[in-house]
Amino acid sequence: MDELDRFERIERYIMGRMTSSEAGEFEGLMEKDLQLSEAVQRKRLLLNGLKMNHQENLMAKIKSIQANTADELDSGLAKKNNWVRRLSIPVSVAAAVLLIALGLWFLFPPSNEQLARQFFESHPDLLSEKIEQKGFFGSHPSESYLKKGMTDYELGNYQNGIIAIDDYLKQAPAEHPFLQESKLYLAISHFQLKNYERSTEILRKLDQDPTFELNKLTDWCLGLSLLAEGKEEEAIDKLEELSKDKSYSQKVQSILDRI
Amino acid sequence: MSINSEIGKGLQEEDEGAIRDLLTQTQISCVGYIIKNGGTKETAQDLISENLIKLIYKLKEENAAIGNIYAYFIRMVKNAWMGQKRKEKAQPLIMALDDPDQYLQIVAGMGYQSESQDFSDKRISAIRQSWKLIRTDCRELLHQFYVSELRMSVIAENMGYTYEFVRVKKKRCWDAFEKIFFLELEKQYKDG
Repeated sequence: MDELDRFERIERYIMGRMTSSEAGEFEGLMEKDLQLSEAVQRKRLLLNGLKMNHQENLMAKIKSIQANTADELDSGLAKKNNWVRRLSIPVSVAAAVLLIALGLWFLFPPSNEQLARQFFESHPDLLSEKIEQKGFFGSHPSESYLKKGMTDYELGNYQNGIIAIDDYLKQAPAEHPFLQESKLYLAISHFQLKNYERSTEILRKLDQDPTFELNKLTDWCLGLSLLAEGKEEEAIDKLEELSKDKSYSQKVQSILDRI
Repeated sequence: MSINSEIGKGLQEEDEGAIRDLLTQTQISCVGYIIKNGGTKETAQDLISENLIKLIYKLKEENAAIGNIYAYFIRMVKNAWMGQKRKEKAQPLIMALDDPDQYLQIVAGMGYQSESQDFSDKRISAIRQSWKLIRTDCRELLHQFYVSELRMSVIAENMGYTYEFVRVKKKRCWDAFEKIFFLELEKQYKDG
């Protein structure tokens, strides 16, 4: 065993990179060779210290950033508390506000756009998990953009999400499994940013694919996007198509009554 | 590596901007939750920093697969807090005696400054000093291998060396580090 081999064997032993049989053999060698045993102890001592030192430095870095963001945290917490406090406003005030709101509702009914936004619910991020499940087997580097896009989407950073999902769509191969679903999230993001023309355009294309498993959700979003865009008749037609579907019939009826 | 997101890569590299971004996005939710569940802002911040170190180490693992890092971290801190609360309820002394680290902390807290604690302080101080004294490229190489635990082939690529050269250089750097460390340790004992 030359010096370099010996050095690397010690390293592999300490870093737990040996198989159990290799480690057993190495421990046998240490029992016979005092110098080797001391070298292992020295290296372990130094390596543990090195890691501890690194952790301490990292902790100091984190603590310093925490100290620098303390004001941000305090104001964030205060906002949160204010929200809770606001919830405890006396019932009489709440009732009064409710009455005023109801009065305004009847006097000034919401526009189609407002109505569409009231009924619109952001679809939760189900893609990130699917990307993880697919793992690396057969995956494509473009998924990194999709992952970023979904993170932004989930955080409500729709503009950044759109850029990342667009990058994914440009680079993903034609048979990639998440193409259609990512387009749905793209359309939802455009809707959230009030780019109704664009969301309608994407949803219309998706609607033409009968194999897409989220076609009911696509129909619902398309109906709302058309309504927000001001294409009332087309929106009603689209929403009526959904009225036979059990999971949508109630919502559809409710919105149709109010258009 | 499966961490493709910008934030994931930044945290792997311990980048200050990435750490700040993660804290800004998650700490209100984490601290709010811990305060709501019987903790204080200070304990929450300690728990956040401890778990952030764990997260960074996890991201450095070769097969770490984490989807939404922000959501993952919030879950991690919340679970850690609930775990800590459960631990506090369940026979704290017995738990502490089972755990040598906690046991030493208790002994230290009782006023017994053991010899090993003194040695540990001197060791850390000598490590800090010798770490500063070795060449910058050695520090970089040793950090990548022993702390970040990167593969040799990755380190060779990062540093623009051949694989064989990195093998030899790593040993030379370590030998230099070890030599300086023991000299510094000796100095620490001489200086008292």
